Amino acid sequence: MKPYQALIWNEWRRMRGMFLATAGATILLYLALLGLGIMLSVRDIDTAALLISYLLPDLLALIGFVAFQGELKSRTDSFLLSLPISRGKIFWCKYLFNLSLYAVLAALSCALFFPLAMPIVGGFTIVIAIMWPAIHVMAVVNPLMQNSPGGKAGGWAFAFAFPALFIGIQAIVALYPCNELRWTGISISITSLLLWFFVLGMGHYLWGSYLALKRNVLRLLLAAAGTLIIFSTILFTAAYVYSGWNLAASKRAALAAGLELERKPAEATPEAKNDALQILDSLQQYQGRLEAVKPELPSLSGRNSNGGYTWRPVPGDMKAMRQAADFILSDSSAVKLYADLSQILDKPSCWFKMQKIPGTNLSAVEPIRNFLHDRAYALELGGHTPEAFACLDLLDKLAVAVGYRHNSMGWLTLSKLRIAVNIGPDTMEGVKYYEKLLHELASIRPEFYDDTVTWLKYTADTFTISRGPLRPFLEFGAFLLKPRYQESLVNLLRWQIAYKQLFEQAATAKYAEVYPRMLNLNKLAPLIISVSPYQIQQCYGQRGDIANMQLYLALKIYKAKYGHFPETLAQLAPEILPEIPLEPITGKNFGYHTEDNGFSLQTESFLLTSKKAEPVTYSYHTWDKTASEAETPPLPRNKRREAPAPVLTNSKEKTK
Amino acid sequence: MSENSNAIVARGVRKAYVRKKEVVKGLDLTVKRGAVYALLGCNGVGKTTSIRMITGQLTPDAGEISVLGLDPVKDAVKLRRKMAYVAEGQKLYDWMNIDDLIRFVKSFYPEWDDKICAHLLKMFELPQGVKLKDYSRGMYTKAALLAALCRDPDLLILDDPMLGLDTAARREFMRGVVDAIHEFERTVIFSTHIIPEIEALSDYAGIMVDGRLVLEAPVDEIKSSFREIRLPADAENIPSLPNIVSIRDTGEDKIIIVKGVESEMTAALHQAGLRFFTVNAMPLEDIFLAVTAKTKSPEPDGVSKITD
Repeated sequence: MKPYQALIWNEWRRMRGMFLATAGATILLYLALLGLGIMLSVRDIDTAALLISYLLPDLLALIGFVAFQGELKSRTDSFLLSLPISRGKIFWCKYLFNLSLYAVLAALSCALFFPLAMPIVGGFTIVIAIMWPAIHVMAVVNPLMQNSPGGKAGGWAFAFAFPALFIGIQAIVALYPCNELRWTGISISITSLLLWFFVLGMGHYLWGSYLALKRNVLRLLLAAAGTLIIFSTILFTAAYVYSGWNLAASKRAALAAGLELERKPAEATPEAKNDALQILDSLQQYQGRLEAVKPELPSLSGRNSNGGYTWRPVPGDMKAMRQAADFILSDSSAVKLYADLSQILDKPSCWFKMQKIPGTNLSAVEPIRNFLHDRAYALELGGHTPEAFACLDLLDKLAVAVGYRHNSMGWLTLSKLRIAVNIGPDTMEGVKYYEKLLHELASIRPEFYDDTVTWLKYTADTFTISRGPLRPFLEFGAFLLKPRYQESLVNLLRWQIAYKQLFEQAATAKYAEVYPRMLNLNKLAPLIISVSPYQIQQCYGQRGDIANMQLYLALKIYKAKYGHFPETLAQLAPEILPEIPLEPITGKNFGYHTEDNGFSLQTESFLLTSKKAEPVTYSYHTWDKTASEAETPPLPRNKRREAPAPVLTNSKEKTK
Repeated sequence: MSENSNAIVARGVRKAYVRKKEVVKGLDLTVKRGAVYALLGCNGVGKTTSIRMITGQLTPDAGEISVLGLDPVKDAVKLRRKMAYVAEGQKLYDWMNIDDLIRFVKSFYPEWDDKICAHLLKMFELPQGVKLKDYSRGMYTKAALLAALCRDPDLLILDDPMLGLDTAARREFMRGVVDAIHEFERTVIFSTHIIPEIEALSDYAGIMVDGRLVLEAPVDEIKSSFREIRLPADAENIPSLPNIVSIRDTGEDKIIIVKGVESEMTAALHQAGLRFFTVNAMPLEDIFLAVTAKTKSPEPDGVSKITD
């Protein structure tokens, strides 16, 4: 037996148990996954596959660690190093052999993973496979080399190569001139893998670094702190911004195009239709990228309770907004004021009371309007959408109370619109509400309709051009350059900034009072966030929304062309859509049903359903002045579930 | 003295670990070829660090080391082929049995001698087919010694291999070492602080105190150079002997340890008018204790050379 053969033989005997256990566990887990798929729903496969995809590198990583750290732990290192073979040969023998063990396991995993889970989770395992060798290198940062000639330099290099690798990877992700979701997906995948490395390999790494840095704890802590800072700042910010805003921009642009078609079908059709088709195309491209990458989004977002997505991407903001919203809902004075207002505005007699107030007009009711307005906005951002909608309904009642004066009505509706523009394109319910508000506006001042479309385009633009904390300034700059953007935008921005600060302060104070240590702990939260099934859901939720918007826009285009909505979705292809988008999870067609004045789309997939797993129906109505006046404002979400279910065309009817 | 006659020569070797704290502070050490050298010292004086530098596992911060005419850092692989090292509390791969161990180690040494191996296997009475992890401590250490000896090394370094062994295991191991050393002539360095076990075995001894070698000489000469003088407790005129290492009053006797020639000591005692005294030879362990007690902070030139 030659020396390297002896080393490999020894390595195999040391690793054999763990390798066989890992392989066995992999097979068993995937069999269990298959069982889950048969017994339970697709959703559970999704979760389980993700778990296994985590578990596998976890176990593989252990092999890497044991290869070197195990020698130290069992104190066989001095025996190994006393053999007449260079450290380099020992290192490479161990490294390459363990890598080959990994390759076998990875192949096994892929062979089982792809037929079972690929349709759901996609290329995640590929990313793991690509990243693994790099992780392996890091995992085997070898204290064995510490005392070799040049050990000092080697030790320093190892200690700083680790943070440097993070910087490098994240810089590529952050600075690469392509802000597509693809990079977010890769970035998050890298993050999750490196997090595993953190969990499993930190002990090993710390030990190696501790020796390498001549047992200097301070240097070690500095190196680790640098890693953590880079980790938590660059990656999460960059990744989240990339994922959120593109979608927000696309949705707004699509909505604007759809509305434009709706408003001026005759004169706007050729041009607007082109715009709409372009947007449709970009949506399809976007959908395609999602399909290809199927990334897992960070769980930092303020996902709204009704399945929507906030456009605010910074984790701190969302946390503050959630705290603010919780604060509003728990603050006794705010609760009482709201209850009183509800009571007054619910009684028809209050109309008269309000009208009797001297000089009842917008300025007199402005404090009330502001209260409701701010409350609705904060609640929406804080994830309390049903309450936000209820608040908007109350704002409607206020408009009624002040006598439907056109000037007041305009203002109030505009206020609602400002809120709805944030709620609107981000949720399907919001879209419906948004359209309804526009009908109201147009009934008072027809130009509002066009202005709002302009506004939507503006917000689509700003989502595209602005990033991070500079967003308000960039928006303002855009406004200065384009005076046609209405003054209300500036007011909105001012209000947003002031409002955020006020509520953040109040909420932080309140939170600190109740949970004095929690705020500090919260700072650590991003470090322990990894990809979760919830984020997978978000991903599918986005894809579902996009598909929904594609259909929405395509139906509008069809209407603009033929004057009526199609009887089935199949009629949209191939003329308007190359193919009909399917619901992302079930792979079935959306439920489609034409109504008197519009259409409804329905999904039975869990991702697009309510918390009680009931299907949700989205109804869209064409702009019709007479019809819109007859309609009642949208109900709060909790009441909507009672709405009658539409007829499903392609999916099993599950609704009551 | 020819360098070739020396297996190990170390000059001015220094090594620091944490925050520049030096563990080895200028080691000068010479081990002749074919000699059994006992490197003695208390815990923490730098014995293991010195040995790890000699074996090439650590790089000295300063100074020079030559082992079998090779640089232990630059010629590490070459040197390891000629040298065997059994570390303090040596661990082997527990999954192996003795046959696996032999098979594994043999593959690294072309000069592996199966006859020696078979002989040692018989001599050490190591059970075959039993995992090393199931061996007693004594057997385990003997297995490590077997792996070291079968390659017929020019230099055998044993770094406190008896540490942690109980008395029975220690004696069992020492029997193996004595037999091995007697049967195969080679240079041996034996680092330990369990001195009685190796006293009879050693040709040379070096005593380390605080990172330096304060005494290095053939064991016989060390033993003949130190004498313990016992005086009655009421003896008042303590002679002004040169090279007094220590004076101790036990209540019954005054014990003076002196370095020098016995006849000169006796003459000096008589001259001082002392009639009742005894001059005794000392075991190496007592000399070690006296020297280490005296030399807590030796001068840089404090290395005693009894012979050239």
